[in-house]
Amino acid sequence: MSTLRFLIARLSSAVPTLLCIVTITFFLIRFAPGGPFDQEQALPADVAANLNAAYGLDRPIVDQYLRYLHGLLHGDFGPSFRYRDFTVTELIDQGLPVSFTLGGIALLIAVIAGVGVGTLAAVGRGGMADRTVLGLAVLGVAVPSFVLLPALGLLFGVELHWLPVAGWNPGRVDDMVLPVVTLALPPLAYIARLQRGSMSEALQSPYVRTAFAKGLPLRTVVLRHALRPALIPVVSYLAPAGAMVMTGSLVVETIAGLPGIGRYLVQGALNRDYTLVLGMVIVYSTLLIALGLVADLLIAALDPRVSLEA
Amino acid sequence: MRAAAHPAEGPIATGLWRGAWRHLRASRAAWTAVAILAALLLLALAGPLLNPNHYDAIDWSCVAMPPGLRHAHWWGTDGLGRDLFVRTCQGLRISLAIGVIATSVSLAVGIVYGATAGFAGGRVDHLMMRVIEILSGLPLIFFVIVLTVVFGRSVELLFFAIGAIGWLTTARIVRGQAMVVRGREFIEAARVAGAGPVSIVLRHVVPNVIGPVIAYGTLTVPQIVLFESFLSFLGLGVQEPHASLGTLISAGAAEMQSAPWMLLIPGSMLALLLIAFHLLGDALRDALELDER
Amino acid sequence: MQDLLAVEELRVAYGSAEAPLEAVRGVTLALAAGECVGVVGESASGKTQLCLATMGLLGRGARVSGRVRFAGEDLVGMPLRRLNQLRGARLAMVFQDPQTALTPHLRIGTQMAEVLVVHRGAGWSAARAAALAMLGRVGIEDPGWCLERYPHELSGGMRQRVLIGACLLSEPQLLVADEPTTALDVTVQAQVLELLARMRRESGMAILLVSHDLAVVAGLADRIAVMYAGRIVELAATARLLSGPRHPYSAALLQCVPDIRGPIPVRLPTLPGQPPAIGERAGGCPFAPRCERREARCLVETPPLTADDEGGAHACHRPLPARAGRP
Repeated sequence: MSTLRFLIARLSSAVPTLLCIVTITFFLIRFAPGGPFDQEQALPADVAANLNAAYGLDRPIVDQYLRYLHGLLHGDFGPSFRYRDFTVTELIDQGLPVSFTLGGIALLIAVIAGVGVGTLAAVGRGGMADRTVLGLAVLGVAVPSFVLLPALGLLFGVELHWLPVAGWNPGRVDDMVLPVVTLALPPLAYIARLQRGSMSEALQSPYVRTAFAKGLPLRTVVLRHALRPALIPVVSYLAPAGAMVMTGSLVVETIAGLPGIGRYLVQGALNRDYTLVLGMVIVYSTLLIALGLVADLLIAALDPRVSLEA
Repeated sequence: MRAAAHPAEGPIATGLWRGAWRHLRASRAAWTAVAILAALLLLALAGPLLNPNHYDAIDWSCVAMPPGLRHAHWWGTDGLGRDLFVRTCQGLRISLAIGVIATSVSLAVGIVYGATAGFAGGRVDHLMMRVIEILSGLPLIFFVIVLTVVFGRSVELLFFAIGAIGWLTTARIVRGQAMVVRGREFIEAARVAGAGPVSIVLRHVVPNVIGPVIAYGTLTVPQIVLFESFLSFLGLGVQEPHASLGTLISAGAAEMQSAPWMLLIPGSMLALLLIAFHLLGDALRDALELDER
Repeated sequence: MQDLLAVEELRVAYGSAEAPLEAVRGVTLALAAGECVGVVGESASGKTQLCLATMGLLGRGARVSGRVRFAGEDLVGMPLRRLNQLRGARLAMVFQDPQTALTPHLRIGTQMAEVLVVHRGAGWSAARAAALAMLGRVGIEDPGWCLERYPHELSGGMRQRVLIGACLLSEPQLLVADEPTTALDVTVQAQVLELLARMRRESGMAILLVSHDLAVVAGLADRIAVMYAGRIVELAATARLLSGPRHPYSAALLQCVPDIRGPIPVRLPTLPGQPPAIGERAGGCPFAPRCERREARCLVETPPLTADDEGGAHACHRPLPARAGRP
């Protein structure tokens, strides 16, 4: 019951946030100099007018805005200005499953591996895992995704011929390995460091000392008594980690030629395809807000002292 | 107890600075970072003078030549026969310039925004912080992309667009300090009647804010360099024939099967630049005893 | 007969080897089976470090020397596997702050039952049944309800009862109690002490009872050790220590305990000055700077703990005369 009420409260606070983002992005883009049909050679005036009329660009801006919002409520993101045969909704329908699969797997790997390595590092200070966390942190900072993916491709694709460098065949695991690793690495590095810190702190807490005093083996103390409180900072970091994966997906999908929404956003930006950019920003924001919500629910599940109140 | 959390009076602040300086001088990481940055800066400024080639001189006679010291193209050439050493120096120059200028823009925006929110307080403050909250929940890169759509793709606008985005942390810090000082203003006013707001800001806000702002500023530079490279890589940033590290990496990634050095050279330059700024920023943050975020 | 616990020349140091900070500086103390020994001293006198060393719970930074023999086995340097067979089973510990000593996300039943699961190989349902019965024994009014609660849903006194109950489940021979009542309300303090006394009578376990408060220890302990700056300065049977302390510090501690039978003094007597900080302990008697009876050699020569003819021991160059009576 309280969970349901919490969900409703959080969703009702997410709506104005989302509305804010939609509004700001919409008007920013509409007030931009130049239009989607401006190209190297100007279109004849009557063609331009026809196009503008066809896409509703000749109406007052507020009218356009309200129509857009109305469309959004019905799941209609409007037509794409460049992919003339598709609506933005269709592009999202095509791209989202690809991006979602890759990003979801990457985030899952980042969390599981990050928590694992970070925990081992905290338990065995100065050991192998500890050095791994440090190395990962440097790698995460110094090697951005647009260097990492080509470099991995160079090594595993061009030199070793283990994996394809690029390409996408639905359902083929080979194609996903390098993109997923590239997407997972930056949040993995950060989560490992976060977990190392929170686990060290948890291991020094009085209740863990009680657990040791009970004669529980180290494994039991770590898994049963220390892990859950130590996970809270990591869970709080879920949404920023998701943002990291999304940022990476722009590059990864572009380089590897994956038909996801990240590539559409980049294409949309290059072509000044207003509705496409707007639609993708809305999809990404919605995903992030949802991820934040999931994080809040998880924290409440981890700590019985947190009551679900917005 | 964090020293920086207190609105330190003159002598305490001096002590903090002296301690921070001692801490910094003892830090090997900080010195390594400074050495790397100095070398990169030298390369960016003086590199093109050392080599006779021009950054956009196309030479069809030596396309995609591997690196070597026997010919004039020390770091090889790209697919158009342009010298990679000079182009990398050029790219470093642009990446560094964007990093520093956009960071300054972001610091300026952050300081003004934070000080306004902190001093105004009440509903204005609440609203301004809500905006920060919304913005910081989203990947900043999306906003930069939206801005590149809005303003078109030119280097000058890129400085501004990125700078207009990276100010959130600065604004938070400055707001906090401004609120502390605002709370003390009544006591201050009673004790030293006649001290105007300008002198209060100069004497109490600036000394407290300057340390954190320098530290976070140093950590903002690599973030912005990364943004720029990211956008340039995607074709949304610096445009041909100009080179930034991002465009060089992008070109290199396309040619990596035949000419891997085109990817590895600018890639490692970028990695060095990012590591150095992070090391320095971390060292400054430790020296000034600031929290991680 | 063999002592249950024999601490010999225990030293616990932190910091670098060149400039060690010694928290415990050569403590020797023995407990017979079933005996209750109280340890009294101000904060930072090394009491808690002594307890943690007894349980093998000192942190990574601690350097330990000397011996802590439990039933003949030395706990110092003992492999973790063997240590884990002993602690929680044959020796157990109650901590100072029941607010933080229980794991927040586990139900009370789980936290109690796991002791039996680990040490006796009991099944969870059998262990929970034992925990239920134990909650009744330690005076929880509704054990069935309590078993399913999370720690934050219980009062401080209940939590300390739970912790004591968890310790007693495995019927240990020794209970180490570090300030078990300090964080509790005064009325609850008395109840918890009464509980400890009753449990000792019922189970015959030995107790190492540590407190900064002489009054807490006096009611339960057979003997009392007074600690100051990492050393035991006086060790004597409880009645003897209360009636005729030999060390000036013990006497000063006694003066700080208000006597409820006499008239209430206008100002409670306090001990002027502070114990030396851990890094500043030079040669000489550490208490000398605050001592009214000090003489020249107290400042240079550390008095050793020497046995007196009444079965106690004290470390003082100018002890108070025997049977001086309560001042």
